[in-house]
Amino acid sequence: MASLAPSFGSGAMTNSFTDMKNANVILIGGNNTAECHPLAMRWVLEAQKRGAKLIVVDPRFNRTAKVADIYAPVRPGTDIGYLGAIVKYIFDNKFYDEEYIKAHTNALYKVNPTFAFNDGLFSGYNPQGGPYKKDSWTYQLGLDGLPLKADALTDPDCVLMKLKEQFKDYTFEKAYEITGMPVDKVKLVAETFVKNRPGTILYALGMTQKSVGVQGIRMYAIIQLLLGNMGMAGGGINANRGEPNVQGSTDMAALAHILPGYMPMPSDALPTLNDYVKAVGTAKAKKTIALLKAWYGDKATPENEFGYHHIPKRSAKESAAKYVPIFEKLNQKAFEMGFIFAQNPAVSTPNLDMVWRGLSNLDLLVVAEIFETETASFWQHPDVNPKDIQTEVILLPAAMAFEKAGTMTNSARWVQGKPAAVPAPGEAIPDGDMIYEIMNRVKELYANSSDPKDKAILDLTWHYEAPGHEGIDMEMVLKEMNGYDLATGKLLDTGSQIAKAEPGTVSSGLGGLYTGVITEEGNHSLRHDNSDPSSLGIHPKWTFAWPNNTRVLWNRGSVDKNGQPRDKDRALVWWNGTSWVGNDILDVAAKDKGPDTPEGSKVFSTGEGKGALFRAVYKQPQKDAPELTLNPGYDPNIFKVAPVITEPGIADGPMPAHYEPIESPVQNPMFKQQSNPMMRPLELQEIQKSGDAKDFPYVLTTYMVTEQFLSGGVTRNTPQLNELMPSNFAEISTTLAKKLGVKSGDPVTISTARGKVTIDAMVTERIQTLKVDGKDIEVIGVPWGWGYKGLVHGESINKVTNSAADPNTGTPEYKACSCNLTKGGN
Amino acid sequence: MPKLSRRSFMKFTAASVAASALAQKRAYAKTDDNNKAFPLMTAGAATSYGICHFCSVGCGIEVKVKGNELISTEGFIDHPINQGALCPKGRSLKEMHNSELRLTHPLVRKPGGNKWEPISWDEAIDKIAKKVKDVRDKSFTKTVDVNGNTVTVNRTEGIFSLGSAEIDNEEVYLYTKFNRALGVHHYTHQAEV
Repeated sequence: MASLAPSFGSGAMTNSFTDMKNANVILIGGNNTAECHPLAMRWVLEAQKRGAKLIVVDPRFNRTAKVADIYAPVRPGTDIGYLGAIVKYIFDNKFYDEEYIKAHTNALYKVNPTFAFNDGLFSGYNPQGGPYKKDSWTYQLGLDGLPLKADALTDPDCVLMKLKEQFKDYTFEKAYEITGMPVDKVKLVAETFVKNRPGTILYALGMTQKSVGVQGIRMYAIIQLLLGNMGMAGGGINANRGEPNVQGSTDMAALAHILPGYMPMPSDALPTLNDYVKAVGTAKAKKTIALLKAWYGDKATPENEFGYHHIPKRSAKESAAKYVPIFEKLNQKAFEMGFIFAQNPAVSTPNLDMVWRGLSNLDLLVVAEIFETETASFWQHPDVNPKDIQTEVILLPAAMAFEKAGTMTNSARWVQGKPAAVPAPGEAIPDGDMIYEIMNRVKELYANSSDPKDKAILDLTWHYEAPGHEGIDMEMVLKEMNGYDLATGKLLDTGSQIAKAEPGTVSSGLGGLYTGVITEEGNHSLRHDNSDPSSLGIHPKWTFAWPNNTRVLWNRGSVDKNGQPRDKDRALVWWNGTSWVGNDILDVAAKDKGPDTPEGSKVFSTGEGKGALFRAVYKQPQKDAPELTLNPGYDPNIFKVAPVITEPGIADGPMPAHYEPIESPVQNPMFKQQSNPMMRPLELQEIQKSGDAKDFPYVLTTYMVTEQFLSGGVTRNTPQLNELMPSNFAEISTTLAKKLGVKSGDPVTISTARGKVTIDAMVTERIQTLKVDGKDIEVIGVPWGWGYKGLVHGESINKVTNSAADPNTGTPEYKACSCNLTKGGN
Repeated sequence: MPKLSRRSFMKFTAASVAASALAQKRAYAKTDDNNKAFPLMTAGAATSYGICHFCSVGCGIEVKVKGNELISTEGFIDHPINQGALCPKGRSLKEMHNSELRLTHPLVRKPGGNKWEPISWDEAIDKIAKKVKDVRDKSFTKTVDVNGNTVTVNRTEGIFSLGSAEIDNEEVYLYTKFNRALGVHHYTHQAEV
């Protein structure tokens, strides 16, 4: 999560579903909770029953809006416009929590005087292209390398004043001009959210699938820090993630830029382990060495840099995000072989022509699935002749959740275990068994190799057989993830043991992230004690939450300077005179250090130890680092001299700014700079086309319905769900319907620069014509999970969506692109 | 590891799944003696536990099993989040197991072909492993030049991997470890989009 981590130190849903009842106000912006997370809505409604106000901001009056106290419409992709007005409102009325921001954020830190922001561009912009030069996005530092602090929040150099300056023009009227949200609604949303504390914010893909996704969520972080809502029961930022184990798969780093546990992936800019430690900081490097010990065991030694070179180094020049680039490269014939496990990109990728054309360039595609999907059967695409596609496809039958033992991590970081309840049908087997078996076979093929490149495979630890029977035992894998003290052979109890240990003496496949999930005491992911002594929805003995079974992240922020709860009815942790105790496990701060000490007052795990209102580039220096000459490669003394934590900054700015979506019907009302200046150029000119408002005057946005889940790979094969939601639809306003003479049920053609699809219209009051920049703007809404396989079919709207993406995360701008709509079929 | 024939491969995977299923079922099994007078379809079924496999809320599910048949999926009453309730997708989960549309055997679509054909597990794994070695060896970059310095990068260029937010933690952990050991650096999944 590329916006929460630079703001707080690590990125995940901060509180939990059962904690939402503690909120006095809930802002849902970019998430249709009732539709997409129905059982999370139970806790939103519980909060409302207890008197909380519910605010829903969405382009559509959706199922969640129906029960909201306040519904405010917003033009897709423009949230920063109204969130900026909330920030200005907080500043104008000094509604920020002064004690909290002074103690726990970087509000007082002095910013480099050469930092500037002009007409939509930050200092360091290169008009010739390429990334920002970030040397002005820094603090003024003392001789000790620590940031200089202003005496007062009014110092024009300090972060707080830079933030105030950044949002000075975001009036309620300007917010209306940008977003189409009426002025009185912007004001009501701002007042209601700011005046009721604690408040929490819920978001999901409605916020991330934008060219400014990261900066939009940074707005949430800034607002919650200003209001002192971070670390509070009923506060925080609750990212409602989309898939059953997407939190887990992110933790496991099925991503190009990180290793399991959120340590940065080595790159070719970091040729040795010494270089890596210097760049990522000692805290993360110790975790990476623990991972290398888990992966390479006794073969990971100080002499071979703990196997640092067994892991591929990504290209520092290429995008760290890989989703759209993989499909671009497929079209450029960069790959001969691909693996796709349990994913259906032939429905879920924007600009779908990229997918089936790209996959056709492979020699061999391996797909693991429980049902036949559009991806496995891309060669059956209606626009192609299978004879022309020379790709061999192997489709491996997978076991589903109830047919295998293992753990999944929910959005709230709860690592929940489950047994195998029934055998899989026929010869279907768990995905893990397939991967295990393929690697065993690859190891056999390389058995006689002495090529150094093959050590990465031959030395890889790959023994997960439980005593007593053949085959892989997933609990053995969980133990490797948890980690061991290598001297005693015992399972580790907490991740902090890795920070304290000499590098190379402990192992953990996740660098300590899940440590404590399975200990000598037992497998905590299977705990089913639902007791809740505090009645705050903490349930401390229900399964296990990372980190360290902490249920509310940054909970040290819930106390005052004496270590006592700021809100007695929401007490999470407190200082009892000798140690920190409470209803939850203390996060970040040291358990035995008083509230007035640096270690005992730390709330966040950023490089500064502070919440970042301004995300500066910064390196936390090592105290009293000696002058040393280091041996090349790896020298243990690197841990005495390298920075502790490093903050590389955010690609598109230390603070957010409003940019228009890449395809937009209006000129940016804020700056000459129209859209995100850090957009990665697209590679395939004949496929990844962009259109303008002259030809494509309407705004297309996409979403999901309760009954058809994501790409539909499972639900479109489930008869009882198909009975509830048998076909797709395009929601259009009554105004547009009248103008075009369209009735509900009529086929309409939606076109963009990328192509056309035909879908039946649903004329609805749920979408209203928005007034933006004096113009009437029509929004078209279409659920995206349709395709040509399964029991029910429909054209995929992703055929026409835009693959332009957020420059930090690579997440495409599905939520806002320019389209036209005409009556009749294609 | 000795090379396994298809038969022994199937035997041990099936055995490992079945063994864990039995062990766990024993741990969770309760005699359901409700409704003796008017037996429900769940009467006499063993009770097991599952986690919903749709959105990320992580609801608990009571799974009722008779023999090898999954006969009902209902909300798990003791789960702190869903407290026995489920949405329509969660309720439908038994169909995911029971569906006749499930893939039950490895299949191959040959180059230029217009249909799926059966392939044995052993042959499928063998083909995949050999292709991995072939493409890896052919497309491997040991070093690159960065500003005049030779940097060891050990990258496999010719293979990409996608997946998955739909499989268990242990499985995706192994998938990451597998991909990184091969040298795959074009690797991502649903979380990025």
